Amino acid sequence: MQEYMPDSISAFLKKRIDEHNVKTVKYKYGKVTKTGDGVARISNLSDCKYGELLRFENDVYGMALDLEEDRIGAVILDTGDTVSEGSTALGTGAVAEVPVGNNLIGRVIDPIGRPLDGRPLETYETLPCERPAPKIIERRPVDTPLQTGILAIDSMVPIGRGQRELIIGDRQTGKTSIAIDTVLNQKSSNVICVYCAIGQKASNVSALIETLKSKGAMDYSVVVAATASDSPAMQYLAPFSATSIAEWFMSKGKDVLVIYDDLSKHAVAYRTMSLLLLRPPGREAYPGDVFYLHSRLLERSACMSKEFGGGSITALPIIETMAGNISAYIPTNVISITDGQIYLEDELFHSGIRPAINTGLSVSRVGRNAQSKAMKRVSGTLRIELSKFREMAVFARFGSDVDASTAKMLKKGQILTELFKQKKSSPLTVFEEVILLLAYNNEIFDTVDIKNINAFCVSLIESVTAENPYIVSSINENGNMTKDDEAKLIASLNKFKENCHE
Amino acid sequence: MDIIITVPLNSPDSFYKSICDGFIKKYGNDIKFTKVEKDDLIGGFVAEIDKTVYDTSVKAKLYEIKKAIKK
Repeated sequence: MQEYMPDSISAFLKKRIDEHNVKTVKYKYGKVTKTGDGVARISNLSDCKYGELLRFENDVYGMALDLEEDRIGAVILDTGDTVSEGSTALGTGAVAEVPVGNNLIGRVIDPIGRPLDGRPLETYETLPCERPAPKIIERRPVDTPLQTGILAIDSMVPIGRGQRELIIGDRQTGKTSIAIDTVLNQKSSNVICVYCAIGQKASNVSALIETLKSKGAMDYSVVVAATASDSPAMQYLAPFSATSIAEWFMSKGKDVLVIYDDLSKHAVAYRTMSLLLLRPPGREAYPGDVFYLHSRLLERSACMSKEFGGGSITALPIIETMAGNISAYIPTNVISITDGQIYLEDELFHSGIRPAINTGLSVSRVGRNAQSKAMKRVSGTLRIELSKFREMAVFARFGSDVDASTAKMLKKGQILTELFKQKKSSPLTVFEEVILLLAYNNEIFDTVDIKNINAFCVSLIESVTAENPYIVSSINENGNMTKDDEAKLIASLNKFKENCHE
Repeated sequence: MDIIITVPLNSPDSFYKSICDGFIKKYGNDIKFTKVEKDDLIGGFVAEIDKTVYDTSVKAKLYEIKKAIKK
């Protein structure tokens, strides 16, 4: 940021004001012919552009979205009936913008940049909410992992920096928890987090901000909130604003994580707006361009090449399904746009498997390339083993006798299921994840009672960490594990196992 | 031709008159004037002619200056 002296600023402003000799301001205005439900129809505003901000009386702002020959349709950004029929509307010539910059870190703002945390906000730059996505030539393939600190995700559906990974599931299945745990895990990774709340209850957002504050995550996070009581137009703008904020950090070479919580409510807000603007409804009454709405938003997540700053935006959009129906309109749209999804299941959640990730339906299309070497070595066949186990477990439920190899597979499956259970807000480091999987692969847990696995894991991690401090830092910092390191770790694991049996 | 002229509340009649005279000079005698008084207009006047506004109010000037500084 450029530094200016106060004297030079005031001199500059004085010059600008002197130069600007206003006598009479001449402008065209439109008349509001119809208003209600957050939209207004305006006549005679002929030179208005698409997406232009309009100023109504009493300094209420709106956005022009429907341009017709003799009238335009606009959405009102403020709530309340402050725009009346017959009042005037002026085109401002500007599009919706959001303030950007380092000063936003730790702040809670609304989609047009008004602070919601009671403190004044000082920023020097703004960016339009709607911006084009980075071009193909500016991008590079995803190659760096974004550690979520959740063992099941980092090992089986790994996420890379610049990837778009959908979190999908019914209500109350832990979608937001996964996103928040990922934010908490970025504490030491130098990743800026932008959390965008769309159409959520204000009480939920406030509780979430408290969690972020208490865990120290607000030191590297920005919250953009449009709650359920905000107008549909504000809810529509929220994810675009959040992405513009993220893009500013990306342009400075930073890695950014954006969470859109959630895009189903975003689609609903857009549907509300579109229907009120009298656009023709399509499937499930969504307008025809609802796919484009999300594809242009998520296309802005990218991993930039070194010549273009080398930053990245990783997106974790969230979609809420109804009764597990992932083939509804919006879920299928977003599934096809993103680079994979984490599917959370109600049944698993209530049977105590948390995070309730369905490994069969969860995939990561680019994350495997980004996984660290150490993790790749230990997580090779986990998915297959787990799906085999789930298949076998169905038969074993009937109490039929099983042969020795099947019994072993069932036991291993149970261990793995137990390992993947993880408490809320307790992310694991890369080393901890690697050591647990290495122990699993080397059958360290086979003699442990399933109920005691958690306690066993805690002491196992403690003991191995204390014995191999160099390997811990090597794996945590660059994700590398040499053959020698692996042998040493296996030796300490075996030693720990023997000590336990004595 | 219809012209709506908004002037500050309690402004002298001569002020309104002089504005009307100015428009008559420019457009001729065939004009129907409507006078509106507003208390939130603190200086200058606003004239609306056929969907075009000629705004000399302090508020509009300040808004223009604000826009100029923002650039």
